[in-house]
Amino acid sequence: MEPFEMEDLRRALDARTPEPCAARRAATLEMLEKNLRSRQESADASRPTLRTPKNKGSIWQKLEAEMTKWKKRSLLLGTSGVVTASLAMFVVVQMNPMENTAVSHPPGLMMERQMPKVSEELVSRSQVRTSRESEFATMDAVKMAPAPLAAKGIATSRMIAPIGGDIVVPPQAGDRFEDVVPSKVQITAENPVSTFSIDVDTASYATLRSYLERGQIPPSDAVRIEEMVNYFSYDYAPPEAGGPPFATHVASFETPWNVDTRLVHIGLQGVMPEIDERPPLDLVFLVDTSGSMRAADKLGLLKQSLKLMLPKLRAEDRVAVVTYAGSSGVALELTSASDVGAISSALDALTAGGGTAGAAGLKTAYGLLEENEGEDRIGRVILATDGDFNVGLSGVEEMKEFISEKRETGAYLSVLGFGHGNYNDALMQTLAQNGNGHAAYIDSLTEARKALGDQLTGALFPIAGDVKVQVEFNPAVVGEYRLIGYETRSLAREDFNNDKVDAGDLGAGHSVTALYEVTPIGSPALMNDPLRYGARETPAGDDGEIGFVKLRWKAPGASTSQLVSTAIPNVDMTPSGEQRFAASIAGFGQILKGSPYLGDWDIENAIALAKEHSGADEWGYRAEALRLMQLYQDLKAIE
Amino acid sequence: MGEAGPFEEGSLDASQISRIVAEHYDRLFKVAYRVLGCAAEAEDVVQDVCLSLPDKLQDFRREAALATWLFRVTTNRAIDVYRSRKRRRGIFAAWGEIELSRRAEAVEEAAARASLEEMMGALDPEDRATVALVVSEGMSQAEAADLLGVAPGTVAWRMNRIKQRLRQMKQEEPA
Repeated sequence: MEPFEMEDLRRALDARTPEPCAARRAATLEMLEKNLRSRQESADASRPTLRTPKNKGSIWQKLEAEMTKWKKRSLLLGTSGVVTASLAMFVVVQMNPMENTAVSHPPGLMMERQMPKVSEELVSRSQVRTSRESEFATMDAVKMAPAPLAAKGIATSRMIAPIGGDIVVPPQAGDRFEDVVPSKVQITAENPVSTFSIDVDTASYATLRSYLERGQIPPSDAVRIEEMVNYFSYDYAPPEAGGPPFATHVASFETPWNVDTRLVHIGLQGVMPEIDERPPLDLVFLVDTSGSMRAADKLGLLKQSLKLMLPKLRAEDRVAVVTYAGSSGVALELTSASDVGAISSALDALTAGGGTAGAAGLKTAYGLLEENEGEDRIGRVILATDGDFNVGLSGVEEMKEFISEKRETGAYLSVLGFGHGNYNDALMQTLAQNGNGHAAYIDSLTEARKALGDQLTGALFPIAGDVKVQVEFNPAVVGEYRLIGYETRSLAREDFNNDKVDAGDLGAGHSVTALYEVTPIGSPALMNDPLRYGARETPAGDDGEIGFVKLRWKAPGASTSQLVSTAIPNVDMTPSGEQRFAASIAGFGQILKGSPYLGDWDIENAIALAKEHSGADEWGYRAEALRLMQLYQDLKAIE
Repeated sequence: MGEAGPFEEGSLDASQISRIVAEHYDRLFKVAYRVLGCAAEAEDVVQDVCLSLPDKLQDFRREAALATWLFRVTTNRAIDVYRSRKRRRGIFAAWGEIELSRRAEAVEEAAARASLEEMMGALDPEDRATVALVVSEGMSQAEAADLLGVAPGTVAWRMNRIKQRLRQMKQEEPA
């Protein structure tokens, strides 16, 4: 006898699985029926919409409708975490004034109820499959054409873009990501100037890690290469005293995946000022305590994460806690960071439940900062959420404007994303970008330590605002070029000198890396043939430079920018280990995005390159990246 | 199709939904139990799923869509709950954290039971979900992949890995 074949496993499992508790079953089904009934009544009463009368016709309702459309579209993306989303939605229902059904678990004793007779007809497999196919069809129908990348509100413009009419959306909630078209190869002679905003976010890296660790290949829209590259700290030399608060490093070297092209590496290293010199901080933690935050990897992790941050603050810094769920409220007024006990107990007292009244919470949080306006303090709202703003909240546009206005008064916003499955990546990005903040996705205490303990102090204390990069390539040297990543951060050429156009901020001690792949004139790797008619002569001229890098930045609080620039010398350098590691991560990112520019260079090459240049890796971040690459390799092998 | 409001024509009505949920309740509980190894948590999961239904009605025009949704959400929810529990209590708070089943004695051999316990405890929650759907519920790998939100190849790979584990355990078993 074979003791452990699948059949044995099945039988053993069957034998061990208990029957569900009949009383609990009855209670659950009874509550469900009650909910369904009250739902039907309310639907009958106020068809065709379910809004409460006082909201009717208001701008809020319109905006909510837009959000609903966006939600519907978002339902098409991703797979898991449906429950958290639906739980939140359920709670919303309960908030309608027309009913007051309890949502909590049923009392221990419930009346036994006669069950409907279990019918024989189970759902046939073919039916299941058919419904799945139609879901896919729907997905295609809803796929939108990519909008042009603009300087601001890219995510938003797509978020509220109309979707394909009245399509029935399958019940698949999940993570939402903005569609992004990877940057294309540019011909230097036609378009020599490339402009983008720096990006110090790291959320995309944590998101894809979370996918890979669950045994899934991340969707390519979840991958932002610059955020992967910038997830790691690099050992770039700090700036010299007296100059700008950051150092600019440029270099070019052979591309790992193409011997006929070169990589241009631009690295910015922000200064780490003496900690005593920074102005005191006022931090308002705006904590999402909606029902969907109930999971331990959300609210539980959030509390621990925020506590981890406290020792990094000083006594003159102050912390406040505002919650939003159903109604928003101040859980803790601005309190000295040295009063760890009060802050900890305020955090401990937070419990999840109710819907998400994001807008009201945001206003309350900013309100706390307003009271102290004019003092020499840095104010920041730190929004911690699983990404939903789904009750009584404005459309994204409204919210963006509000955050931008507040930014002008010096109150910034950072976003910490929690939980899997319900996380609204695009919305979080938009909010943080408009609030001059940092968006990080927290999936573990390690990540919390990195984002909050090690680095958020940097993001909390900007040393250079609205940092824009503009590179002009020399057509005498470079035939074609391509910016790797930064798609959501691309700027119009004229935006560079326009101080009204917002860009990313550089925090204390942060580094930012950007990579271009450039194809020299005459290289066999050129993708475009020269024009027969009207082709310009290759401009004679200085071939001593590959290009010229200009950086615009503002001192914190200043409204006019300053310019620094540096030439990229046309000499092939031996890349440092740091640069090679950055290149390996950019390569991995391109593999995840299915980039067509890598040729035969594959994950194995990326692993080898990263392995060789992991350096000291004090915190093990690079070792983790290697593990993720290997995980990807394994997953790919079985696909 | 018109605006897809709840209880519009063509969508399931309240009594149909109640009936369908009641029919599937036991199977949903079993799937959740096989992922979690704990009856109380499985009850919670199924309840949460059932009670999250009313706001989703417009999405269910057919029974099949509702049933698929129930299984998908239950499975994923159970995996999430398992993970958060593991995070809370550490690595060993899995199946192995034995909650004595009243029916444990029905298993033929005590040794086999202990090994099963050990094996289920060693599997990832996703693997257990795969076992629950494919082995216990008799779904095809494609269906399980659909519910779990992974590629069919991933399910095949997981099943293969589980088979190897079983074989390995057989070899280690003292004769």
